[in-house]
Amino acid sequence: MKITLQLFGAYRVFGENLYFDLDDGAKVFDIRNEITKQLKDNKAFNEALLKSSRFANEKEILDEGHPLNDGDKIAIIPPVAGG
Amino acid sequence: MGSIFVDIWDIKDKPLDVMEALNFVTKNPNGAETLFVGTVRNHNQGKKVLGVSYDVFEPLAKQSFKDICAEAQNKWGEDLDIYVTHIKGRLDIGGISIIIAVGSPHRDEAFKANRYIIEQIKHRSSIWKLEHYFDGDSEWTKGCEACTHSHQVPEHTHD
Repeated sequence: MKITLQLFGAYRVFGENLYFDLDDGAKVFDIRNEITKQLKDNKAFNEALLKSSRFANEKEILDEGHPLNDGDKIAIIPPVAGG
Repeated sequence: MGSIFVDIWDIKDKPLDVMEALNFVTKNPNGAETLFVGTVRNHNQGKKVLGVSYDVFEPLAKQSFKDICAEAQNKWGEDLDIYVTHIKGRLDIGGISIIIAVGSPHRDEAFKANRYIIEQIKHRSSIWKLEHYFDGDSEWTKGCEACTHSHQVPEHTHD
């Protein structure tokens, strides 16, 4: 299945989006491995930041076990600092 | 039932508007209006700050504002009128990043609800700050890990 990951905050250094092709049945936590695969050789990649980041759709932060569907657009939510 | 207005404004379109916020919550049944205005200060963590760029995941941020405002009404009265706008884009020193206005029949609820809303936004809303320094460097500020469910008043606060 095709998944688009929208990038925000400190992840903007990697562009607007990342694109993944995941197996059927993939869940939110599978995105973490894919990010590491794609970015681990990039000097700007920060494993601790990834650990403290969450994933969301337009309505809510998603549990790690939330199932993904083909065509989903998910956002990465690094630690927030609004106000 | 009070009214709620929340939005994200792009600084390229218009700056945030304090009078609009105050007017929204000033109504005949209300005897108290509280206003919180967040601005960009010229220093942070010992560094001289030139400005701040705000990055926002808009749909989720607006949803969190609506959720937080509804929580404030549940806690301090369904009759609260609440206005929240946050900026997106780059601000210079003194630029207004957020306005929260709360109108209530009585001041205690207006103060408490306003404080609750700003603290919850800082902990939960999908907004990020890129600080620009005098030495030409820029850095994303350290934030709070977003929670799936965070409806308690946080134990720590932010500047």
